[in-house]
Amino acid sequence: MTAMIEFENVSRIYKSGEHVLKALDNLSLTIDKGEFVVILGPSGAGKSTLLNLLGGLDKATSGKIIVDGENIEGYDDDELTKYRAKSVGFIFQFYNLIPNLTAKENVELMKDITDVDIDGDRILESVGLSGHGNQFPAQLSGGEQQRVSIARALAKEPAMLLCDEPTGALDSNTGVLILSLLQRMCHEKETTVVIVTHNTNLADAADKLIRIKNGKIEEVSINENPLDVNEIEW
Amino acid sequence: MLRDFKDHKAQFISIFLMALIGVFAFTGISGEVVGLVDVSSHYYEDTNLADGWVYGEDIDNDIFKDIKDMDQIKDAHREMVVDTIANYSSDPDISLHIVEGHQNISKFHLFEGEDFDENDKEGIWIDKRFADGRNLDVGDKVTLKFDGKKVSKTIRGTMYSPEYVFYIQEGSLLPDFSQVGFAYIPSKGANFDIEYNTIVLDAYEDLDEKEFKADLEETLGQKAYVQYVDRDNNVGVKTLQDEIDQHTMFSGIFPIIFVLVSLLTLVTTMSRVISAQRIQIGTLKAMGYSNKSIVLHYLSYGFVLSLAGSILGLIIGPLTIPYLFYPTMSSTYSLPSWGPAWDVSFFVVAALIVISSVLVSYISVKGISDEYPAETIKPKAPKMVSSGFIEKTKIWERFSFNERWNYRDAKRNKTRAIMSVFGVFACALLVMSAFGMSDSMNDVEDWQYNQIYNFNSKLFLEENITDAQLDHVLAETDGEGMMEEAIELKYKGNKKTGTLTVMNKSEYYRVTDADRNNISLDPDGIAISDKMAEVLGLEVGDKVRWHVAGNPKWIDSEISETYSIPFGQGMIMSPKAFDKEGGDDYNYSTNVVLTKKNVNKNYTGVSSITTRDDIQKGWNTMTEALDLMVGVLTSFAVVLAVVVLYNLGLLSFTEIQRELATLKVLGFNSKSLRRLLLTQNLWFSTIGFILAIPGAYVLMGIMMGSTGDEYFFPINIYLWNFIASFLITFGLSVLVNLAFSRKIKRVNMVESLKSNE
Repeated sequence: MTAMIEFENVSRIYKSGEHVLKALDNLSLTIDKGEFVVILGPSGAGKSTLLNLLGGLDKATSGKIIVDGENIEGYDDDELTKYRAKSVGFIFQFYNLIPNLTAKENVELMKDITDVDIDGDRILESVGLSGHGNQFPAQLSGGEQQRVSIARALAKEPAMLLCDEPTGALDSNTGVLILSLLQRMCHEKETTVVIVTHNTNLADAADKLIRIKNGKIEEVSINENPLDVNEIEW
Repeated sequence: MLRDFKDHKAQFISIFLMALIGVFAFTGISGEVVGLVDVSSHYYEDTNLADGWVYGEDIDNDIFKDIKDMDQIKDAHREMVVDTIANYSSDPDISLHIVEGHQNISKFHLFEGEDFDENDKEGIWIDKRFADGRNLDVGDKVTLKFDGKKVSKTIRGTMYSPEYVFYIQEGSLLPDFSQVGFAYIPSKGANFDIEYNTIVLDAYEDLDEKEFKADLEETLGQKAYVQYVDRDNNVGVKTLQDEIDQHTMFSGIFPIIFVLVSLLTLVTTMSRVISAQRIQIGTLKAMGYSNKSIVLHYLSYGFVLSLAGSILGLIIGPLTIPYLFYPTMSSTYSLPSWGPAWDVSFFVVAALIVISSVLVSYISVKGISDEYPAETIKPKAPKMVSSGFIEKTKIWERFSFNERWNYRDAKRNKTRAIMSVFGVFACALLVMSAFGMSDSMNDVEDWQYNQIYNFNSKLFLEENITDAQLDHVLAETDGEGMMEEAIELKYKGNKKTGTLTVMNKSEYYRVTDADRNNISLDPDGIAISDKMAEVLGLEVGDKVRWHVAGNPKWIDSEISETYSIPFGQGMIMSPKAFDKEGGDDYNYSTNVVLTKKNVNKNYTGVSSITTRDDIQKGWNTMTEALDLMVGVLTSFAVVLAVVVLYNLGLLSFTEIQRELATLKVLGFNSKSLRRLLLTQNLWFSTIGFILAIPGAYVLMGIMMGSTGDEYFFPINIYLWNFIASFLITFGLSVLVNLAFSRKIKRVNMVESLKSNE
């Protein structure tokens, strides 16, 4: 299988005055299409930086990030915006729904930036939220909001879903529900899913497990027989 | 606090600016008027300007004594006032006052030389502006001529007189100070028989004018014909007062609007800034700071910022704006000094702004600090939004995301929405009204000087012109004769002075109705200008009493129709009707000739000539101050609008920054995000602008209503005005929006997504 995503010697260095912080230090890795990838590491290891670079929210100090054969580090702002709109689906720890729009509108919002025809009701149904379409985010529980957020990310049928601590603000039962939904979407739609977390339990469910520490790869392991999220003991 | 200042630089600056602009505009514009009132009233007081004047022919000792002994009169002296011609090129007109005894009333304001001396037989005191215009100095000789008499005196002093705050040569609107002036000599210096014709009165302060006039008539009985003029009706005092009134009509309402808008924006911003500090307040509390110290800390923001802005405004307002007006004003009026003044209301406004700011800070902080810190450190739960009526309709389905978002955002932030609409409303209202005033002035100018006045020269005839001389003038100039007289009108206790025009239908002096249509008057009827009718409170069919100034005989005439004229309210009738109405007491005699020709030759029997251009130039100079006011108001309106819109835009931007970051992450480009913000701005601008249109008419109605009895100013807003106001309002909206485009580009996606704050 060819690699869909390749990091080649990527560094991201933050400078503030005298202080230099290497968030990513000459890091290289590959991710294949349709993989369910879990990135583990302690706080400050560089997990989120990695995800932000991949998602086109931030730029590397040096190195190449190749997605589908193109180096996104060479993109300008407009190209990055297009890249985010077309290829990347984001799931955030705090859902980041638009409070002024209903669940359905939050999902259908993506109509404005993609050519994909979006049926909000159907997508909400696929994440188990039929009937909640006309509710506003503030009227939904955390888990429901996160599912809307997943629905929104899926609506534009992106090549990859990038999830930054998607269960961080949820209780464990709801968390499992969300993770299992993500795993299912990954396998059903062949969407590449990258989850950043510090929850080590998730390791057994990953197709590929990447451990990061101090901006460097500590370990990459391929799981030949990943467990279903629901089978893991939490 | 300094760190807070850095974080909220823009808001803090805008709170400061709001206080500054509000107070600056108010005190600047009002300061001019208050200054005029202050300077003039001090002038009148210092010089003991007469409370009134009794005019008559040959006021002998008995009459003078009778009047001086009246209970209401504190002091009085007699003067003989004559129109003289000074012995210089182009025959300048000098009013000569021959003063009996010591000058205690209407003393003049001396610039150079010595005080008035009743025993100085050789001295004359002369108008400083005339002296300057003719390069005369103390010690120079002046010769004045009247009725074949000659007065030659040495200048002892140059001065201004409070009786001459405004004076012009006959037939012009603006003074030419080398052509007109006044002078005083003591009666002991007169080398001719003195016939006193004026009594200068100093009355006790609690003078009841009606009672006094009745007493005066009783005292004088039939001894002589007299006319009494009180201080307010002195030409100078009245003209200056009218000018002040005109300025007041601008400065009355406009600055209040400025203050209101600034106040509201300031208050909104203040409460928003503090709400944004919510978590910090909670943290401080959790750390053990007392409520009191937290409240004090935040109160100091509101206090320091608004106080600094207000004080600065209070100082620079009156020290800048009024000085824009003084050059124009001083070319027309003669006051010993020009300067702004501070009114109590200025301090009230400044205090109001500071107090409101502190009060709002207090209420906002108190609301937050009264909660338990545990609640406070969490951000406030988002407000619930429910689906309203519009969302349930089919139309909603057609709305784009942009429109839906903006609709709900406005709904959720009603205060901010209302403030924005109000800000635009006020800006558009001010711009439109300021332009509207300018339009109306232009309209009125065109009406008076191009439509009604259709002559090029106006010749004033001498009283003793012979028929042959008149015929010659009419033939030479191809002109039309008419009679113009100052009249006094009375109806049910209302008394007004006006102009009587006696003429047949004339192409040179057209008669118009309120819609500016040319109309023909009934040659047998008596027409009154509609403004005069309104002021007197009479209608067609009523009988008005009138008499020509200088002739004591009152006539009762039934009004048969009305006409409209912007200035010079009064009556029009034909010579035939005049002779009929006037009976034995009045006879038509031509005293003015109008002609299309540009006359610059002096005919025998013609005393002076003015051209329409001169009159119009005079008007333009007179309205210069008002044009200036329009400029000042428009500038203020624009500054205010920019600050209000930017400020509210910034508030909204800060509040939705997180949403913008999310949208950016999702792949929305900067352009569509800018459009998101712009849409709301445009909606608010549209609503504000539409509301401003009727508002402008109302506001102008109020202002025009206060133009005084002499003027008839219909409200007229030209189409270009609406377009210009529209362009300015929306231009500002877009401009302010552009200011945010850089901010949108800089929205940090990573930071904004980290936490809920």
